[in-house]
Amino acid sequence: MDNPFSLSGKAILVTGASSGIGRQTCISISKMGGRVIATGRNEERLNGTLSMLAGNDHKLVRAELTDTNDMEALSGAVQGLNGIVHCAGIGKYIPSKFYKKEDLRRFNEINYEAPILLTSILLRKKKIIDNSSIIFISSIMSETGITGGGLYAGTKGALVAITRVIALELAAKKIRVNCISPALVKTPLIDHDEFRKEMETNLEKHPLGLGYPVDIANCCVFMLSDASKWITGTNLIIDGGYSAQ
Amino acid sequence: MKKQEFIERLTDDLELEAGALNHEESMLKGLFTSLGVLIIIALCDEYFSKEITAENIKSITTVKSLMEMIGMENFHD
Repeated sequence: MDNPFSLSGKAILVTGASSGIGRQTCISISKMGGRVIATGRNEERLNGTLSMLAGNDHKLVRAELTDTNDMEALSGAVQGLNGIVHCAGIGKYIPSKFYKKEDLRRFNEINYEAPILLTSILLRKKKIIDNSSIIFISSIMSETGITGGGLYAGTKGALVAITRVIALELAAKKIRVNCISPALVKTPLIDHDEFRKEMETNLEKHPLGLGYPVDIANCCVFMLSDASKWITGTNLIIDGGYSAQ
Repeated sequence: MKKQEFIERLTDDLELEAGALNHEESMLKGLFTSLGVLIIIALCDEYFSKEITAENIKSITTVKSLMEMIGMENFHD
């Protein structure tokens, strides 16, 4: 019997592949038989990801996704995609009365504009084939507030909103578009002092404890696989019970 | 920045009552909410381009110790 969760024969582009959720997603895809095209800013760390993958039919494309030329080059370097996982993102806690235009622009540029524009370019160039799956990594902050997380939350909420629209537009091609919204996951992004305090504070708010990148990667595998072929336009929350309270 | 100006800005940014911090030895410890910590981090960045962390803030006890963390060369009477 065919395994509906298998990614065998599928080519998947993963952004933010050099660390954290992106790196683990690449690893999990490869273990499920998928072919990974890993992209990120740092070639050395991308090579690190590549060395961890099962199988050897994978490739990396170094790209700064806020750079139009890099994005064009990336879209030219891929073809026949069966899926995309948009993992690249930044996070920082800033209180609302200290918001600055440059911070807003930076958050928008990396967390929102880059994944949306990349998706658009790939669609326009017909690089995403029918019956594919597009995943945007959003955040639990798209649904619930955390003090200081406003700029991040705004971009992640925007991803959830636009996901529904793109899902409708691509449904005729059976291309599915979904968000995955994790709560606090132990990644390098939050492995800084300011986040560590937040993490300690928030630990007790996660009934199942904090998440790990593999918890998110496994959901990406499901959303990329044929097992989820009737799911589109949703926001799958993975939060260890955080929002159940 | 004048020390007195810094104390006034700090009081204002932390939304403390006027005069709650009135000299360098005024206690800051105990005044920090999670938002307060973020505000201290943000104001150090905005006024002095100084990056401090939530972990650093644990060692701050008084206004003076915050000023020392920022660097006393940034202040004058």
